[in-house]
Amino acid sequence: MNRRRFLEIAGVASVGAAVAGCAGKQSAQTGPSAGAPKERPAGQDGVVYVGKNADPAKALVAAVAAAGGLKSVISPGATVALKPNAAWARSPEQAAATNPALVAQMIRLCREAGAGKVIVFEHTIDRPSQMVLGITSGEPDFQTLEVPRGKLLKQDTIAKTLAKADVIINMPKAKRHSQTELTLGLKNLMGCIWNRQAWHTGPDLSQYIADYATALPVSLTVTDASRVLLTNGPKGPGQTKDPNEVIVAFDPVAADAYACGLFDMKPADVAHIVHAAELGLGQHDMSKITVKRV
Amino acid sequence: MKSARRISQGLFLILFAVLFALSVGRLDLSAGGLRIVSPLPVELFLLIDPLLAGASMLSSRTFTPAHILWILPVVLLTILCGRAFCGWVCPLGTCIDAADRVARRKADRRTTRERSWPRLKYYILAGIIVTAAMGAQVAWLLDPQALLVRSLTLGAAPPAQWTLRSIEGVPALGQAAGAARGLFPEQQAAFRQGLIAALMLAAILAGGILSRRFWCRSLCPLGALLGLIGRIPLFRRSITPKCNECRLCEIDCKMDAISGNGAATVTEECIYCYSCVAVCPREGNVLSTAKPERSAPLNLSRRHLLTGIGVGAVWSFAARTAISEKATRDGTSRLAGLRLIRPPGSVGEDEFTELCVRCGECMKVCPTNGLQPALAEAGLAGIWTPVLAPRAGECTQKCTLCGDVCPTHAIQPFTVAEKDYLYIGRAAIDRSTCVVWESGKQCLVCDEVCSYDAIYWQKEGGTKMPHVDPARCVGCGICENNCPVGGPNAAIRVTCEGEKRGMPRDQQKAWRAANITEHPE
Repeated sequence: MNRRRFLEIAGVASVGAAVAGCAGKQSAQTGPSAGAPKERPAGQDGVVYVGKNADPAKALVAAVAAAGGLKSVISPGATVALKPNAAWARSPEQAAATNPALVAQMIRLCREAGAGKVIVFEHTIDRPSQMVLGITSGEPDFQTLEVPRGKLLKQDTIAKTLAKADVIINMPKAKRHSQTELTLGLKNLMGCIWNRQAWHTGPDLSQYIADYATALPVSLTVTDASRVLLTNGPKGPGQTKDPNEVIVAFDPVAADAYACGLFDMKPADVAHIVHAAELGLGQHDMSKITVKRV
Repeated sequence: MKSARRISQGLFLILFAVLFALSVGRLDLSAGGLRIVSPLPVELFLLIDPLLAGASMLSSRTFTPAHILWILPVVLLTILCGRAFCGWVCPLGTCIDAADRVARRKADRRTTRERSWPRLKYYILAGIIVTAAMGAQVAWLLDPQALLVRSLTLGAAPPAQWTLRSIEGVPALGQAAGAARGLFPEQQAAFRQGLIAALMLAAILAGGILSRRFWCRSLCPLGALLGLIGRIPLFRRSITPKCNECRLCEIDCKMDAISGNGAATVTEECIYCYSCVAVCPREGNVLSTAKPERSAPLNLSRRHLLTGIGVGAVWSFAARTAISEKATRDGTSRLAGLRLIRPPGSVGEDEFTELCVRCGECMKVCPTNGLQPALAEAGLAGIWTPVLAPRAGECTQKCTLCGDVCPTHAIQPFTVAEKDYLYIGRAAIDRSTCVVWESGKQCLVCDEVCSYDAIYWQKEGGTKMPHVDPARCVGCGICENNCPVGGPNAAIRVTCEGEKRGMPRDQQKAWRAANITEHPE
């Protein structure tokens, strides 16, 4: 084979590879899913399970057991996406991110419940993202998400990783937030979109947060309240306190409503919790919420 | 020996490539941030370069013993073997050898007429030395080590990263491309003026059209310096009585270092490539400690030498006309471009342009791509020095990489903890475009992203409004980078206002302690 012939073959091969590459990209967008997602278990509206233990992993195990385990949301072989709050490169002591020990325990529980693949996803703000949790998600692609039930938000984006997952488990950190009073589970979902800046320049951030939650099928909320950030949220550093609690709920609004109490606040003080309740996402009236402590 | 030389060239080129590829931050939880993992300093080839060390020390009037230790092996090698560095070690020289094979057909590689100007490089070197002696530094422009790293960083690595990403979807190739991701920072890098840097390298590699090793023969100031240091080497080429003056070696020599029908060696041009030994049919060429038959004079033209000196002097004069040089008592520049934001740990502005060799290592390792080559911000003296462009990328808190790799310590090493008071600039809110000040929207992005808690809120007319705390704001630019307003123009912008790099670190620390107050919540 002479050089000219080699170059001809290489040229044809690279065109072929490019075509194949495009085809590969297309099929990746509409990939098949393994375990089908499940509906919210009956009788769980307005129910919150609170595990209390100085070790957040133990508190989580207790709360999940009280909630009847994860089999009610995870089908065998299902792809489970965990969405911690890991926007910032802060240590667990600073209480600005979901405790990695809690995430690690959650991965174990998901595996025990029969999950096929467990993905930890976050659209981090501090860079590079590998600094945040010791993981890197690379630069995930995002796709359009319709928000038919939204009042203001009719369309936004979602990370493809999350869109492809069968089960999404929201793992927020409970923190004060200088703009939305608190950041809990509903606010944590802002880390699933591509353009966060657009929400801040939009007409009403709180309504956006509530609207977006109507379009995202979160199966379970696991709130890290082992240590909470009381001032200077969301990034801190600020004052902290240690409720030593992990909150588990199938009802995303009830989970957030309960957590307000840790900050001596009422759910009615947090606009996006009120908006979410108005949209029928769950129960925010503490008098109608059942708290089961373990 | 010719094959030994080739093996040496290959190994040093591989070493260069490996160190270049390792110039990327990796997470180290025990260090609490990013760290470069490499058995040797990634800036090794810049450290051992006598021209860079000499020019930066001479121009800044500093003496750094560490520099002397690093360049010692190359200097000793040169005293023993002349420009053996050029033929056996220099990665740019190896690249040129490879490029010459493309530029010149094998059949007539030697016989085609070659054009080169071997004395030109001495005039260039003279200009560089004069400039340094006058207190400016321009060695960076043509030093081969700095030029190679800079061109690859600014002009070659970003498109390579882009290409690898674009083929990740391709079966078979994709997996390899995905694995190569670790060689690059997480963000797709892009540099302004990257094309110019790339074209400079491309032009050097295309020099083979004029002659083999055109750059090394005619232009390279490092080659000129090593040629002068090793002008009377201990070990050199000589001929044996078997030589019948067939001129095969003279024709073959890619440096044009043989004259007089093979008898004479231009020692300051010989790069010890051993081609003459290999090509000789009669064992007439040897490299030994024997005294040569004849020695060619350097033959510099006084007119051209003075021209080189004159150009160097004019450069240093011109560089000093830049307004950025007007330093205040604390070493910062009162009249600098507002966007002259230097990385943390940078020395004062005058010294910075003298020390910085524009190798681009800091820009290569910057994980956010925020460090960019300066064009006008720092005047003529500061062309291509690193400046932080916050809209491109912030100076992310848990990173100290630029200080770790800077070969001349224009950026001095610093720690994550010291970044709390290494003031590189200050953010200011533009109330006419900020969505909170201007239209009362719910935005807190600058506050939430701030790693130093430098944004505080104060009620004005019943609404909480954002303010910048000058004691806490160090000018890292994460707020400007994330501000939702505008394309190139954010509503919160960092300028070099408030930078304190001329101040000793303990004084900066004391200034912070004296000025810090509790925020009104």
